[in-house]
Amino acid sequence: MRKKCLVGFLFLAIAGMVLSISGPALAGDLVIIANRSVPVSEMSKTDIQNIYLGKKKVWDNGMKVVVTALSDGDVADAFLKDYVKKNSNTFNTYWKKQVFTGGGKPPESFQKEKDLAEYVSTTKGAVGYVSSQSVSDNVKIILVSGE
Amino acid sequence: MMNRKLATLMVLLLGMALSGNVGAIELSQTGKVDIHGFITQGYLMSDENNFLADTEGNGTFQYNEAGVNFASDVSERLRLGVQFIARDLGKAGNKEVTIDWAVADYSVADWLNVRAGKCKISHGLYNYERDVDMLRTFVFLPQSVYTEGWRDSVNALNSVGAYGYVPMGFAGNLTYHLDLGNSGIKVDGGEVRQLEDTMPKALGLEVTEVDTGTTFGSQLAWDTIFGIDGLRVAAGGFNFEMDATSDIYDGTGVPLYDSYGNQSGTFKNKESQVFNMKLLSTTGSLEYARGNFIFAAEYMNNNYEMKLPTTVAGTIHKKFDAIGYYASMAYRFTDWLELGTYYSEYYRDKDDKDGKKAVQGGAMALLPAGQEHAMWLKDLCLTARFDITPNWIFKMEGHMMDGAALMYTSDNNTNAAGAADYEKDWFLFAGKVSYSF
Repeated sequence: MRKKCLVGFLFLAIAGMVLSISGPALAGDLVIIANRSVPVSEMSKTDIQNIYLGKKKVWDNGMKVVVTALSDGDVADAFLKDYVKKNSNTFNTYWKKQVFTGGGKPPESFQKEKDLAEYVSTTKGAVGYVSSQSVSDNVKIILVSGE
Repeated sequence: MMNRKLATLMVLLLGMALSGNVGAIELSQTGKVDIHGFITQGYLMSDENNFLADTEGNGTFQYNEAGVNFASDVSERLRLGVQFIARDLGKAGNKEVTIDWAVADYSVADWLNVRAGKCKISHGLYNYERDVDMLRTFVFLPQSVYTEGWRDSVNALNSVGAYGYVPMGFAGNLTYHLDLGNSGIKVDGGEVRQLEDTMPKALGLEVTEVDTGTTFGSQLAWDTIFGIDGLRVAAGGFNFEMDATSDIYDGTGVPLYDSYGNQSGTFKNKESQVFNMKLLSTTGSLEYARGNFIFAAEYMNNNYEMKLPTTVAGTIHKKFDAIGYYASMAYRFTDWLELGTYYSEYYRDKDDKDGKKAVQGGAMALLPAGQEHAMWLKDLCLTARFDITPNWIFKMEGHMMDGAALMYTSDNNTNAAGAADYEKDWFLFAGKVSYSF
């Protein structure tokens, strides 16, 4: 009896997994921004992914990479999906893992794009993303290559 | 009575959690210390057999953890961190506060980071995070690869090491880990208890001191393989060498018992000898994560060599391979609900999967007749994880078990005569609540 219940539960779980397909977030008009001290003007999507996963820790000139992110919202969801290949849940879990295993420090988090852009403009080595209407003249816009 | 050190750690954790002043504390104008922690309380109950604690019947709450970590970027390239942990699971942990990891990590380049201290070992996909409940779907990781009884020593090494990643364009990324150090095997730890269980009861093996050799660990992982996001494969391994000074029957004095628990008629005394054990553990892993779905499969081979120079049964020199493998999948349905399942198999000796050899040999048999199933463990697991808030998590998990490997006779899994006495088919329930910040 117990085995039948377990098998039934397993069947329902698998069926739920198959049937429950979440819709992808729509990518917005994103711009990758950086502090003017950052020694690059172009990056690939792979570079950006590795920065946001904490694998790339220093710029080529030895300056520390300071990663920033929006805490939630459509812009954050679109960025994570398009550049980091994760959703907010898997991204947060990834960084919790780093925090609790000594792997590194999660991105500086901001509620508002304006605050993120201001932090990037004043912090050496900082990189982030905002929607195109939030870009200011105080930051460097990073071109994203095709890879 | 609650251990005073654990109480201190828990008061510290609760104080920080309740103050709201957690996450990051400014220590100076140039840097800040990030502080995070967790507390868990579990409940285990089985209908037969005691799984690592007194789980049979009414179950046990003797399953909990508390941890707190401090980390800071002290310069552009150097990061320091330490995590303290206290845990309890049956005879393991006993709420003693220990250092879970303590690392100085220096970035030379993306492909070369060096670290020193008490560092996590790269073993399979999930060894790094096994101490932190909220990082996974399941209460228990598959025991075939992540044996709970070995957690303390497989967890981390006092070591120096290097790691890094190498992007390879469309082919994906390579990540490597190399570690050289010393493990923390304890006389009363799971490895030693398993060692004592691995020898015939008639030898009366009782380990009194452990001296561990140098451990070398390595792992190579390849992700985003040819542009497939979420696909990761890894291969790695580590070695252990241990000299276990042991009391063992030498041929005079005290009664010798056979594996059924019956006195065999000869009286023996114990003398101290050094039992040498070598282990080479290798693991191959595959993981595919897409959206809210994660699939993982791993295969582990543990090659053992054991030498005991002089016993009542003569010189013992055993070589054998234990194998374990599993496949798991998990899916997050909503922000608060995730379901997962895995099927896992473990065999203590891949050349004796049905346990028939283990019950042969009379007084020197490893197990009594009828206990062949103690040579394997097959586990079908189902888990429901509820994220009540981003900080509070509750899990319920059921295990349909076949076999009794990876468990200990010293957890009251014996008959009246003291011989191994496990039921073959049994059920384990695990519930766990976690708070983290």
